[in-house]
Amino acid sequence: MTDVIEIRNLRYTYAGSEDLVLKGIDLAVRKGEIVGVMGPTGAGKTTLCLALSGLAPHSIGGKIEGEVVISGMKTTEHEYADVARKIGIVFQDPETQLFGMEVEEDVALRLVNMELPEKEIEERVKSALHMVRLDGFEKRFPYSLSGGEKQRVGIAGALAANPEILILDEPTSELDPIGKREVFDAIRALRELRETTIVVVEHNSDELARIADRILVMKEGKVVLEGEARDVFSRVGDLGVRIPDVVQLGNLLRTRDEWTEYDYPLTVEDASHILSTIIQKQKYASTTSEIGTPEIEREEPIIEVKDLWYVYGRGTEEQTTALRELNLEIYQGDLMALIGQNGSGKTTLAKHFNGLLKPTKGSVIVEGLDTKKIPATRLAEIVGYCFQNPDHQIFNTKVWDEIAFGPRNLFLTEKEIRDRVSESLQEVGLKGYENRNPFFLGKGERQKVAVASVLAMYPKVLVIDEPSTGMDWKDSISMMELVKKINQTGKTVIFITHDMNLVAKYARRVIVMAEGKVLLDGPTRSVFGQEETLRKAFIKPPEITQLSHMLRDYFKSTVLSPDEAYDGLLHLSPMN
Amino acid sequence: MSVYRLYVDKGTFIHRLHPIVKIVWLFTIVVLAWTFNRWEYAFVIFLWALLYAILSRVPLKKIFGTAFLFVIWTAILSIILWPAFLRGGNVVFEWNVFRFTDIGLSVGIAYGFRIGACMVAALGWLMTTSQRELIEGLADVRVPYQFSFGIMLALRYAPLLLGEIGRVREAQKSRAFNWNRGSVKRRIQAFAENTRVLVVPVFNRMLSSVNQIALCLDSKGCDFSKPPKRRKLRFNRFDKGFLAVTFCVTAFFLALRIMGYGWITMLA
Repeated sequence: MTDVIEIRNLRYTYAGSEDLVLKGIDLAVRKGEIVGVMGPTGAGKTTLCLALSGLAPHSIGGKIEGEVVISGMKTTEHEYADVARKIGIVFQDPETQLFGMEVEEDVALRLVNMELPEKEIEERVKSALHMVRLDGFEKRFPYSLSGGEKQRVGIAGALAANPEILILDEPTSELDPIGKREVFDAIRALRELRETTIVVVEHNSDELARIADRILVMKEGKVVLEGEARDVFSRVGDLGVRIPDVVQLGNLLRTRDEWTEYDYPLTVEDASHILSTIIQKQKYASTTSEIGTPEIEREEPIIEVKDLWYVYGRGTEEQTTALRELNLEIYQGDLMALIGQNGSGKTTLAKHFNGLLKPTKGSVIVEGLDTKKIPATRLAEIVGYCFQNPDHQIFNTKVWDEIAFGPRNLFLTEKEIRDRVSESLQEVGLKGYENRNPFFLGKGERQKVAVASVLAMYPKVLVIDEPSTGMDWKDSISMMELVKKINQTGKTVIFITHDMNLVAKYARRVIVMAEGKVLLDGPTRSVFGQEETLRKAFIKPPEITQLSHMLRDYFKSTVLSPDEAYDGLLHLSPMN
Repeated sequence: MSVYRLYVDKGTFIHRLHPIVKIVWLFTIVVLAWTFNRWEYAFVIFLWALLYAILSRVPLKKIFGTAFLFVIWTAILSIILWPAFLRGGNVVFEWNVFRFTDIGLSVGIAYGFRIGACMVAALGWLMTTSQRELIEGLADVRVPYQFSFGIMLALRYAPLLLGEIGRVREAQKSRAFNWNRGSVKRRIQAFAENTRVLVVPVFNRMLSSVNQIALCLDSKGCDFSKPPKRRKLRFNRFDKGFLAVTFCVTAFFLALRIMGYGWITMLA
C-alpha cells in the first residue's frame, strides 16, 4: 500500500522562539491507516498536527526543517490552498471553529470555499451531520449548543469535505462517553467507506486501542514509542499515557501461567473471550466473592434541591428547559460525581448550588439559606465553584495575588488573608509558587491555582467543573488526588466529568442526569451496575466494569478497577 | 447560556427576498429617515421600517430591546441640545439655563424616530438575512469580499465575546467579587480594579482565540484575496414586487419633501 504521509527528520521551531518543538520526527502513514498519537502535555502532538496539515509553516510561520510529503506533495513547496484540498483538520477547542450563524451554514463553509454545486453541498452537509448524530440541528444557532455538540459540528465540517487525510487534535475531549464512541465509530466508518487516512491525537486510550492500526507515543518533541496498540500499551511504562483497563488486567494476569499463552486483550470483547476460554478450560466452578459497598454516613443535608426547574431564555425564541422537577440532597463529606450526556443539565444544576443561577421554579437550600434570596457573592463563602477553564478567572500576575483575591472580597484582615493563601498553596502543592506568574504555568498548575483561590475562601462545599478536560492522564490523576485530599479534610466535593475512569476511581456517590432530571443517584458501584439505564444518559461505564458485566456468571459484583477484577479472578479456584 | 444571535429564520417571503433587494430597501429607509425633520413625518418612516420587521415575523421584543433606549436617549438629548445651537421657535418652557422651544421639541423627537427608523431597519435586515446572503448581497453591490467577510467575522465574534464576558463574570462572582458593592463614589474609585478583573481574563481568552480562529479559517479554505464562487440568485416576482413598492413609497415621500412638506427650517 502506498504511503500518503511521509515525514522525514521533521524539526520545527515556532516563530519568535528558539526552542525546537519537534526534534526529528520520521513517520510514514499508509493510505487508509488510522494512526493514534498520544503523549503528555507539551510533547509536540498539536505541533505535529499543524505541520502535517501544512498550517505550519504556511499559516503560523516558524522554521521547519526536514520534509512533510502529503500524497506526493511536499507541503513547503506548494501553496497552502493546494495542501488544504487533501486535508481536513479538527482542533481541540470547539468554540473557535464555528463561523456560521446556523449549523448547516457552518458545516458548509469549507464546501462553499471549494465551490461545489449547491445540491452537493446540501447532501454532504446532511450526511456529515448524520455521521456525528446531529440530525435535525441544521437550523440551530451553533453558539447555543453544548460543548460536545459544538465539537461535533466542527467534526462534521471536516468530514463533509471528504478529505484524503483527516487530522483530529483531541476531538472528543468534551464529549460524553457514548458521544466519544460515536465519533470514533464515525472515524472508523470513514476509513472503511472512503479509505480516508486518519491521524488522531487523543488521551482516551480505550478508544484508540479499539480503532487505531498504530499508535505513536510522543515525548519532548520526539516519537519515543511506536507500534500496534497491543505492543505499545504493553511497553508504555511511565510515559504519562493511560493504559486501557483490559490491558492493565492483562498485565496483572500475565504474571500467572494460565494467561501467558494468550495475547494481550485490547478491547472488552477480546478480554471477555479470552477470560471465558481460560475459565472454562480450567473448569472454574465458583464465582468471585461479592465486593461490598461502604455505607455513606449521612447527617443533615448541606444542600437541598426541591422541585427545581430552570429555563434559559424565558419568553424568547431560544427558550430551553434545562432542569425539570429535580429533587436532591447533598451531604457534608460527600465525594460526588455529576455525570450525564452533553447538555443534560449538569453545569446548570451545579451553578444553582452557589447561586450563580436562581431557580425558575422550586428552591435550592444551602445550609438553611434559600439561594433565591441570597446573592451569589454571599453564597461563595459556603460553596466554592471552580470553572472548567482556569483562564476565565486568572487576572493577576502573581499566584499569591490571585489566591488572595477571594479572601479580600470577604474583607478579611491582612493576617487572615496571608494565612489562608499560605494554607491553600500548601494544600494544592504549589508552595513556593507565590511569586510566579500564573499565565506562564501549565494547564494543570493553572487549574490548581484556581482551586487554591476558591479553597482560600474556606467553603464547605467545592464544585469542580470538568477538572481534567484538556489534561493528560498524569495531570488528571494529580488533580483528582487533590480533590480526594480536599474531601478528606471534611469538605463536600462535587465534580462534573465525562471521564468514567476517574469517576470509578474517585467518586463515592454518582448522580446521573438526563434531560434535566436525575436518572440515577447512589454509590458508584451500584450506579455503574445499571448499564442499561446508563445508556439512556449516554453513559458507558469503564471498560473493566463492562467486562465484569459481560462475565456476570463469574463476577458476583460490578467491578470498578483492574485490581478489583484481578483480585476477584484470584479467588476462583483452581487459580487461587 | 448567554448567546447573541441576529438572524431569525422564520421562512417568510421577506426572508426569501434577494439580498440585493433587502440592501436597496435598507438604503431607502436611511435616505428617507434623513429626509424629514418634522416628527410626524419621521414617525411615519419609523412605522414603514417597522412594517418590514412585522411582516418578517422577527421578534419585535428583540428589536425594541436594542433600539428603544437609543430612540429615547437620542430624542431627550436632541430636545435638550437643539435650543443651544438654534434660534427660532416659541419657548414652551424654561428650566435653569435650558430653554425648550416648539421647534426644538419637534426636531428632537424627529431625531429619535430618525435614529430609531435606521436601527429598526438595520436590525430587521440583519435578522432576515443569513450570513451567507449578507456576504453575497454585499458582493452584489460591489463591496470588497475582504470587507464583507470582516463584517461576518465581527458578527461571529459577538457571541464568542459575550459568552466569554459572561463566564468571566460568573467566575469572579464565585469568588465573592461584587461589581456593584458600595456607594457610587466607591464604585467609581474601584473602576480600574473592577475593569481589570473582567478585562484581563477576557482579553487573554480572546487573544488565544484569535490565533486559533485564524488557523481554523485557513483550514476551512477561506482565501480572502479571492471570494468563493457564489450561488446564482435570481430575481423572482416577489423581489420585483417588493422593489416596486419600495421605489413607489420612496418616490412618494421624496416628492412630499420636494414640495416642501416635512421640514422645519432652522436658523443657526
